[in-house]
Amino acid sequence: MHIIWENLLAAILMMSIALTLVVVNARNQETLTETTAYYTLKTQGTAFTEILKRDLQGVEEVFTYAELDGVFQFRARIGQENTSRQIEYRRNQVTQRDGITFYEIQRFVDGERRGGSMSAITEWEIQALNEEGQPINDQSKLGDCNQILVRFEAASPFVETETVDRMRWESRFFPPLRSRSTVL
Amino acid sequence: MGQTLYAIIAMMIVSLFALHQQRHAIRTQMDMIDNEINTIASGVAVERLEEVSAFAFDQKTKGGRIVESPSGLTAREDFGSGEGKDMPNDDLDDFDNTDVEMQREVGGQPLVFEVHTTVDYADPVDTDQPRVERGKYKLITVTVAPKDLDNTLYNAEGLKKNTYTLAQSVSCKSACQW
Repeated sequence: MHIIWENLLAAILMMSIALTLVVVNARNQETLTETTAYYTLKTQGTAFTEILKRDLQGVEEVFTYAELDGVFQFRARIGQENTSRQIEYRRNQVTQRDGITFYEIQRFVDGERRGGSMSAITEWEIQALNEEGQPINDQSKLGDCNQILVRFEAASPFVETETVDRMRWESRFFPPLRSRSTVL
Repeated sequence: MGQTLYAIIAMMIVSLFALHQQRHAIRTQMDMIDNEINTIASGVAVERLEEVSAFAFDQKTKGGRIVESPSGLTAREDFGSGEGKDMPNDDLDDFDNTDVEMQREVGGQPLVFEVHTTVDYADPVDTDQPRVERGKYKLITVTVAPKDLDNTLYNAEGLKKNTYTLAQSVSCKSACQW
């Protein structure tokens, strides 16, 4: 009886330890996967925000008040360049997962493909605003454009993450070439 | 009796190991959330910098006027807004030492940020360095911190209340001719 009891106890103990180790290992794997997915997304997202900043800070003229047929067009001076270039952002559907559509934002400079976003964009909004920060909804009022709002959300394209489900970034740009400082 | 003691010790060691791993996982998750808040804060900081830098370089350069010596520009001690300062807020330095709140929506919930802005003259050689003497460059520094709405989000055991700082220098361009 004593031997049976000891063996039973040892078996229960062994199972408890094994179970604990399996759970801990599974949890570690989950955290590691989420962390890798998030930081990959963040690196790509940060690179895209740098492109947006460089382009939108130099806007001279906008050709569409918002994204029309998946396209937003404007003319801008990039960096220290003296000449302006026509830039186009095209939203392109890449894939779907669990009912979520993933897009990439393709960037064209003077008609040629020049980079863009990662293929993980789930929400994308770009909108011309007037001096009061109100959206412009009429092509004939594009001359009033003083600010540009850009907002995007991106999700990990590989795995649905729970801790941080989306990377979100939003900002308003006040391009100096269209701003108050040039007219005041 | 001895074997029972060994069993208890074994269980305790495994439990401590599991607890340690769990704490590590939670810490990692907290870091990810902190990081995401910082990413959103970077958008807020860019927006505030853009907003402020869109104004005229100085009260004296408004309307295309030209300043011919540094003494023609606003003195550092006259930066800011309020009593004794130039009104309304229509040039860069009027935003010195100002605080605003800006909001973002995260998953349908508002996330409020406290945004503090300072403006200084900048060293012409290293425009990231502030200085008191008047010159052709001004340095705008924006510090963004998430506002603790219910005083429970940020505490010693929870998220760190990180601040995000972004600075940008602005040139007087052709308005300063000396």
